Amino acid sequence: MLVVLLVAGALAAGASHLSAASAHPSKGIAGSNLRIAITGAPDPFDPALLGDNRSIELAQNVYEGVLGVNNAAQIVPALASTWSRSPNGLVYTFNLRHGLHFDNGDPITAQDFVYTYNRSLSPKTASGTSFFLADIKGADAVLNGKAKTASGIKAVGTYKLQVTMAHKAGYFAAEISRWPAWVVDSKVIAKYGKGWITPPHNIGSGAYKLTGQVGDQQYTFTANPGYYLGKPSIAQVSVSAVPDSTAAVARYQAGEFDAVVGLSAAAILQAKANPTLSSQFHTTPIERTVWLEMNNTKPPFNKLAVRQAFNHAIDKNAIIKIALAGVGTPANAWLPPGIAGNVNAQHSASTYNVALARQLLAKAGYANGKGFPSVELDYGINYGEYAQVYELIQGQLEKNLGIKVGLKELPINAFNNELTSAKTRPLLWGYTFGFDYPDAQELDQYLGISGAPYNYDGYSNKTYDRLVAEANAESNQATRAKLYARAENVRLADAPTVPLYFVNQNWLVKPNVKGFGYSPLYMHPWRQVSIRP
Amino acid sequence: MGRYLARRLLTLIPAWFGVTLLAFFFVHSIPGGPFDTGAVRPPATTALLEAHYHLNKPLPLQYLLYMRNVLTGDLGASIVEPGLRVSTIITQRFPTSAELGAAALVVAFGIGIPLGLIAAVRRNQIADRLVMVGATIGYAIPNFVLSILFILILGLRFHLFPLGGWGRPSQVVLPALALGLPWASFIARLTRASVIETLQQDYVRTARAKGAGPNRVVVHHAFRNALMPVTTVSALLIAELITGSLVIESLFSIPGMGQYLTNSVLGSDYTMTLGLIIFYATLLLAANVVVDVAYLWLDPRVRY
Repeated sequence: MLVVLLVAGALAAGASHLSAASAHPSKGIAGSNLRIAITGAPDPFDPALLGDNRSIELAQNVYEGVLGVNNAAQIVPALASTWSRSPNGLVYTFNLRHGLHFDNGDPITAQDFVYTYNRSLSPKTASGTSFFLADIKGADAVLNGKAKTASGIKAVGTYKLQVTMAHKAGYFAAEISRWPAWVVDSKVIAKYGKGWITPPHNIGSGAYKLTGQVGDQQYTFTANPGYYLGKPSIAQVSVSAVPDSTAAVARYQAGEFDAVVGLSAAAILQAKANPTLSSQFHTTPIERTVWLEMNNTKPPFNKLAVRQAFNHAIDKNAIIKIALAGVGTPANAWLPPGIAGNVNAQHSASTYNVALARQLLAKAGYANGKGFPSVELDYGINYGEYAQVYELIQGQLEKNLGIKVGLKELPINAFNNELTSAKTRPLLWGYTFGFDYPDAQELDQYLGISGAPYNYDGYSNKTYDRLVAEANAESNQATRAKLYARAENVRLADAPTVPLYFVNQNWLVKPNVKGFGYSPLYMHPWRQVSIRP
Repeated sequence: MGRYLARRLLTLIPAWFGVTLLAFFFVHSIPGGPFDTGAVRPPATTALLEAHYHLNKPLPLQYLLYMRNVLTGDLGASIVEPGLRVSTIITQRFPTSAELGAAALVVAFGIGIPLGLIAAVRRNQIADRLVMVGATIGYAIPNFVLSILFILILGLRFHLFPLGGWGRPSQVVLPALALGLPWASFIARLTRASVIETLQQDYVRTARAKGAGPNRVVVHHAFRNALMPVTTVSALLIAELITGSLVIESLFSIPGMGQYLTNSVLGSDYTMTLGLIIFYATLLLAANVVVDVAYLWLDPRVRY
């Protein structure tokens, strides 16, 4: 087999020049080709197997579900023209648009959604996000391999899809708008097996079709003329993975790209220093929070006054200014603005108050930091900025509270692994969360409540747990928002963490490109973008 | 010769299995598993994923299950980027690393050997001095510094070459020079020393005494023998160059394998890391055999 691979490698070496040259981003007619540089290779284009936002913001142009997310991160109908929820909140009915087709002409019917949802749930598919559909009645049996289909997923006629829940889940509309529920063509998957995700076999229903791929660095998407909302303005979108952001900016300056997204702090400074680039630089808040987590179950952080002291001793504006090249929003709450139930605006006044912090620390018995145990702050190598962020915090804690903190940087998987066990968990660590779907439930349920799988700080408050559970089950979105907000205020009063900042997405785009940008979750769909020649 | 080759190939088998075993246990001893990415999911989903990839079984059993697939010709798929076959990465990314490595090898030998030869023949003359100063500087500058200088000067300032990317011949020039030049300097020094030493050998003196001209002595009598040390180094050099340079690949945005291997290790992508290591190991073991055979041609005294 290895010999075969060696020979194949040698053959591919000869062929790669041709294919690479024809897919090169600088080729194509001006105005008809949008060339984007992203920071890394996306996941393979199987909706059930997508994971990171970088992949999802590309794949959302290729696949769609019954519901979608608009630029304001609100849930809107997509392939379903209308949808409804039964008064008891358990049955969802989606009325599909008539005459929908996959790119290959196969009609899209309710049965295709039944297939798609069961496929995403199947353990054979091994989707990491199958849990988006796990609240459906009978989904458990499919997840555990005991059944092929979930009893709660039904096609009622050609154009009506009915989904029955195992229990009330007010966040389900948000979940079903996401990738594990994006419709796929069963015939194509049956025909090509695992190879269906690479062009030319890849088939979706979106405004664009993945038509070319060189390695996992260069992707070409072509407009789908039969798209139900009309043919997109830009005929072709070329996406290149360029991990080094400053290199991507240099190539953008040389005219190789129309847009560069995911700029590092270094690239932002580079852009801001150049008059042309600074006029093409854009930034917008996304739904991601970065916070400092404290081990609430262990001294000294089991004392509320210590946790509050840390909350007041850190200058978030300085962190944003120095470590993040000035882009980001100071976070005084956990849920980011834009997620219903967030209360950041109510707490917008700066929490930075050294006198108060010292007073609180003295109250806890550690006046001027005396007697405070040695503390280690761990963080994962996630973004380039983390080292700078935590070095600043280290300095601020020493200067403001007289507390010496050691820093430990770990590869991201080793870091997360260290947190999973109470034995290896440090006293302080940096943590972050970006929303997969725009609903407070995701953060509160998986990281916030007592015993949540990622509740590493050990925070536990029965009132908070109850409010989150109520909000999760509630169907009325306005009521849910109020409940999450109440829960959030209970949480903030307990100060289990130090919210640091809400992250921004940063990009450069040429002035002749219109409509390119970011919603609080993702890059705008390309069908909204046009290029003035 | 045939028997030697057969014996040599047989010794590769335990070496190859040893590599797979070591790699397997090292890869699995990296702290943090492939699902410790920070992405949220209920513990039940994580358990299902671990079961799907046999990660819930004892390590020795996992090794056997893994090797069963490898021996039947299946290196498996990535755990972190499900759906991505290891063989896909090899067929798509290795050619790039190999092309870059081959181009850098041409630079290393194509510049290093002639310059070393000139320096040896013109020993202690101005040409020798120039070559040696150049070689010292070339060897002292790390390739990432050369890369950045090339990008800034030849790319950004004078627009002679593209700043990065891969696929067009012009995109090969700068990374190949950056990767190959330090080695060219090394080869030049090695060739010079080796040729000087050979030129003092008795048989070379004999050739001169027989009336052979200076060019004929160098080309016909000294050069082939002088290449012995260069050949020994070349196995190492080929390994160094084709396995891909992480830094060069990253600076020039070249979709090679070096970058991929590093990322897979950091992400605890067990199947991907193992597949790539086994592929490289196979390649390097084969390269060693090729070098051993090359000795036979270069040095008639070598008998097996």
